[in-house]
Amino acid sequence: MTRSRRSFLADAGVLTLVGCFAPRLLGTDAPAEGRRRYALLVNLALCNQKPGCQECRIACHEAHNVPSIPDPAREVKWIWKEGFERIFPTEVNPLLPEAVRDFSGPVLCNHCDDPPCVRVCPTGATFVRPDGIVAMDQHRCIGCRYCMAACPYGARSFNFQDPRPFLEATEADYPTRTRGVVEKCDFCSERLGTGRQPACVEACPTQALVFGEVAELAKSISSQRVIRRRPELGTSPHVFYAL
Amino acid sequence: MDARRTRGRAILGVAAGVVLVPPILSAAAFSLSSRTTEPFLQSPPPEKGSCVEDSAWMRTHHMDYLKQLRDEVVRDGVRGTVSLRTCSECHVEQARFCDKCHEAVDLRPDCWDCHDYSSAEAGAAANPTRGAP
Amino acid sequence: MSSTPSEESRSHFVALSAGVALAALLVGFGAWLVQLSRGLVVTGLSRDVSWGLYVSQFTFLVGVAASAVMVVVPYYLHDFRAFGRLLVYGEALAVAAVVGAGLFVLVDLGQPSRVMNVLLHPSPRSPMFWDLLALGGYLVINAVLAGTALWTERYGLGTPWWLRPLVYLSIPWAVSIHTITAFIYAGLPGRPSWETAVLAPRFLASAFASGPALLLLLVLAERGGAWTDDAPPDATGAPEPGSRVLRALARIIAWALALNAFLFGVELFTAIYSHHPEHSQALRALYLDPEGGLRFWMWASQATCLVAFVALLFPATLGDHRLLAAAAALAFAGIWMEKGMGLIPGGFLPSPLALVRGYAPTLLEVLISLGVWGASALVLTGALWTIRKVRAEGSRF
Repeated sequence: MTRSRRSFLADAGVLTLVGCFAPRLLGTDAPAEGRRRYALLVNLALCNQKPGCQECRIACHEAHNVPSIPDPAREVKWIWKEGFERIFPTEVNPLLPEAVRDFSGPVLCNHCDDPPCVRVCPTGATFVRPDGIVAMDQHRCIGCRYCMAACPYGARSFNFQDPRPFLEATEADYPTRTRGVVEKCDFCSERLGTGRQPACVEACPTQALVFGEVAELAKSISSQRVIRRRPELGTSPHVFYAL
Repeated sequence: MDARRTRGRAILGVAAGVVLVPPILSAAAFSLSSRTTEPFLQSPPPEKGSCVEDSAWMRTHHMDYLKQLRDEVVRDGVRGTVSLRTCSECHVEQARFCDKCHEAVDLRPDCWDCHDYSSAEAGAAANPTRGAP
Repeated sequence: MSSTPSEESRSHFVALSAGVALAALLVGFGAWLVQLSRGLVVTGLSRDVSWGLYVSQFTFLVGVAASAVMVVVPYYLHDFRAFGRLLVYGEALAVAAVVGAGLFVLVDLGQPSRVMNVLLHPSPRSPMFWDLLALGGYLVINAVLAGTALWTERYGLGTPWWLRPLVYLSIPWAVSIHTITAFIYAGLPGRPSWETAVLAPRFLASAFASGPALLLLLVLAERGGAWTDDAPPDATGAPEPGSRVLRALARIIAWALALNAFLFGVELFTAIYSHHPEHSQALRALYLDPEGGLRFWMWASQATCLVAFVALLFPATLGDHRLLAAAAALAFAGIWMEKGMGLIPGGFLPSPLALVRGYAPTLLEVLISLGVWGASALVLTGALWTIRKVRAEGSRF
């Protein structure tokens, strides 16, 4: 079977097209100068006006087909609530106000500036976008779970089994994942392109979550103190918690 | 010593024959037979206009094209161009479009492990049992 | 060419062990197919402890592979001629161990069909990428070295000019494969029990105890077969054939065990004396916390290594082959318990949210692991059989 010259040229054209995008795959880690740098601000005081609230988790998991797996050892979660002592173990001290000690708050991927998970990924399946979002390429992930070992925040989940049987309802306009790949929050990159806010931000009943460029977020801070999780590790996380 | 080596080689030869000959014979028989026909793909209604590319090009290149789109969306964050929904607006049903050729050549792409071909409403309308967990 | 009764029984033993290894491989393969279809949910892994038996076996086997350098260095750099006939065994062991290590990585992957992505999309900042290259290269080097040695023995050829440079290359390469493996763990900021500069030296020390221990057992199993000493008797009298090899191996194991214990001891001091909660919490989860599920292995490992070390100190052990075999087996088992069971899942305790959710492998995990060990054993058996054939038949020249 001979191939016509035209079909060869067509193949070459497609390959060239694809190849033009190759340099983008070799992006650097830290966002370039002047690029948008997304971050999330969590107002813990506002969040704790509604104790026991799970709206952020529910909205996120519904929007992204995150399965509900009953076994806590195998659960998949992108955003969830933890107690203050677990989120900020080094902040706990004898003079910490009772009220703050009893706080709970959402934890999620921190979309670090210098993410260890991206450094260790052997296939580049997780990578930093120019806008600062630490993204996942589910097509490339080989499921080695090195990123899970590297993440100092426990933000990543692995699909130990096919997630589809554990989906109560399916959001057809968003893919599911398959067994054997790692997943996590990606700052709702599918919504940002169309000018919408992340699902958790939209769903929060007390407007405790504020999302946007880091410089913009500075204007939304009303409290004195803003902290991040485990700053001493040098990851420069971009989920900020206002006490 | 030589008799043993000859016997070993004979065993190897017979084993190779047993393993290799049947598949080669059956593949040759199948391709020489006249049972192969081109699958019938449901054409979209003419008012929808023309596709992104013509059929011949798509048949050869849709795999690379989809991968290029995939990398655009996932790795470059460029959304709002062509997507699976663009395809399913005209070629409405996966079973009567994508699956036709794939099943004919016994190819099982793993796209459908994660992706839904059409939106929830269109999918439900075309195939009432889809969408169930 | 009739074989003696001892040779016959030995070849029966080889056939039996090959058969057992093949059976384990087949069962393990079937179990892996189950894992492929259902996912890694069939293992004991969890969201908090995401690496377990497979990765720890991988780590252990890389160590065994690296230990070939403990045979090469005395012979090539220090002219310890007694190791002359041992070299090819060390290289064969290295090949078998690397094959096993690679298979353990493969069975651990969630999407093994995509494993080529590591080469299609190189990630030079990932230690895992470099480990793949290093292990692949080490496999090739050792296969070439062993094959060349046997080929030249069989046909009476002189050693080719490139052999010695290749051997010299294999020495830092052996050290590097296990160092890079240690770097997989030692560079992670969120895992304090791994994030220590002493992890790579610990890995090497335990490797240099476990690998030579296995070699020692192989030598003892081969005694009287293709084994004679190359060295002339020394001034104090003629030692038994083969005993110089045995003594040297025993000494290497003892030193390596001592070094391993010392490195652990300094870690212990740093963690406990500093009162730094990260370090002490990690140690506590490993050695004291019942929730972690690893206590038994860690304490058993310490005890076993101690007994092995003490046994190897006594000259009586070196003279009695059964005691020597027992000491070597204990050393191998002790290191396996530390590295092959405790160290990897232990690195995940406590979790980033300060939880200690323990880990224990499931039956399917054990079966798959035994299958990979079977594959590795088959490679080793095949290599040993080839060595025996070449040496028994003598030079063809």
